[in-house]
Amino acid sequence: MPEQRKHPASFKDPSGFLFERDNILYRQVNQVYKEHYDLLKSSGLYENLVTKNQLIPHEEVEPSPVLKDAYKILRPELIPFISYAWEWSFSQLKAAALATLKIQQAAIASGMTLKDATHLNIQFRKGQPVLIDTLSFEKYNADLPWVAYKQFSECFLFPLLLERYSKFPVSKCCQAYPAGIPAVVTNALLPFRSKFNLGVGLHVSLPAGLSSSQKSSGRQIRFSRKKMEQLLANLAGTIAGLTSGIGGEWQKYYHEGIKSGEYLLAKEELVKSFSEKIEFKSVLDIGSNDGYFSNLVAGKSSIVVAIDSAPYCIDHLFRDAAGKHGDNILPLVVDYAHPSPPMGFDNREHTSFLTRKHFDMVLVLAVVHHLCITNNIPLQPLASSLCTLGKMFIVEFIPYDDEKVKIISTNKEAIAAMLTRENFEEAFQPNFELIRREKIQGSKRWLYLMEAK
Amino acid sequence: MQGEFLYIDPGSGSYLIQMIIAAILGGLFYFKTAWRRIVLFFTGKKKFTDDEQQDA
Repeated sequence: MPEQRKHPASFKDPSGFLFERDNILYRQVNQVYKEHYDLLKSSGLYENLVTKNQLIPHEEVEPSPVLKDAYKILRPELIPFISYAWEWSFSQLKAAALATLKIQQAAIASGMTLKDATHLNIQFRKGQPVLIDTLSFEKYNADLPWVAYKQFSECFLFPLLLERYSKFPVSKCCQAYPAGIPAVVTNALLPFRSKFNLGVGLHVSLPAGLSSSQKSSGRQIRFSRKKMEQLLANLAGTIAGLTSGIGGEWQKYYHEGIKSGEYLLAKEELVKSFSEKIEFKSVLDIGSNDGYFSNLVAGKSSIVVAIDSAPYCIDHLFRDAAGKHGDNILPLVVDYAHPSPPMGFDNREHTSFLTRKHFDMVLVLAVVHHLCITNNIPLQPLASSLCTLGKMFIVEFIPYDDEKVKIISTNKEAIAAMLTRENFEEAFQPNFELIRREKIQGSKRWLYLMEAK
Repeated sequence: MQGEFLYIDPGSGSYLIQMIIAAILGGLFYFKTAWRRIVLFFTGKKKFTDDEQQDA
């Protein structure tokens, strides 16, 4: 009998669970969820959401139940790269929030409602947010308010408000509070001027004020569909009007990142020439900045994961990617010096960034000197960390006497002095096989094509 | 910080808040509609769309 392995993040919902068999991912729908699953199909909601790319499609397969209470076995379409809200920029969390509200509005119109509204149920596919938890829906009772309202506010609205008004990046907020940041904490962190926003007053100050006086009330509460629609419309309007409060600061950084024309052209030619020799479907671009090189290789890849520690760069790339090549570019806010740790129960619910995928090609362009000088990471440990991420590597080496290195190495001259080509090649040699190296015209920089040993 | 509230059911804990928000939104909607009627009465033009979203 083939081995079946229950997914470590799939234990919270009694409606069903994910499991893997022969390296294929399946979702079991339990008997207890039968009524809701049948309604999802018969109401047309599943078809409606799948057509609008808001819900992950699946096919029903032969029931070969893992447990005896299986009702259906589903084989969902796979997401090329799983990401988490602690790796998203403002616009990504905002897009995920608005998608969740649209799904809830469509569900209400079909007689169903979302029982969960966490960012953990949303993934990015072709640049668009998509709900991956098919079992999030249940039959709608118009007398009741939205059971997932508090979770929605804590997971989506509050982190967005904190980046808008307090310049607290959504990725950091979601990492600190993966299950959602409470209203009382949000209310204490938001500045006075934010309290003039109707959305802040209704969804933050009001619950924060009530939660300190409210005791469990046995009172009968009656809601209505119209009230639900007004609540959802207000949440959507509040979120749609929000913009990141840290955009301005990063804008300067972003424009400074654009280098001289001759160097950039020469580098582009070399990256093209190096990557032509490589078979690749998946690419990791470390220190992607505005995604110039992610876009360059996106046409040949099925997925390009572009990471940068600057939320503004990633936000810009996300908003930009949809229009260009690029719906196969997934930009993520990840600092290579502090990559996402494993999270959740037993540290097994959500994997660390570095162990999530083995890439065919890894771009390490204009980033080694930052890690060495700004983060004090020596070359050899850096090489042994990088080599676990993929097969083929294009690495740019920038020496100690480069203009940009001089700018970032003030008071760190001793560390910067280690950045010689000889030291670089010696440090990378134990983990990588050198295939090609070329000097980049118009600069003192070198480009290396290497294969991980 | 919120230890004393850990035993409140997370869903119904927000029900009362949603009732209050819905009441406020309902009131705002009522006044918005009334205001539109007044403006329409004086201008005689259809100046506003039927956008029901509240201002952020």
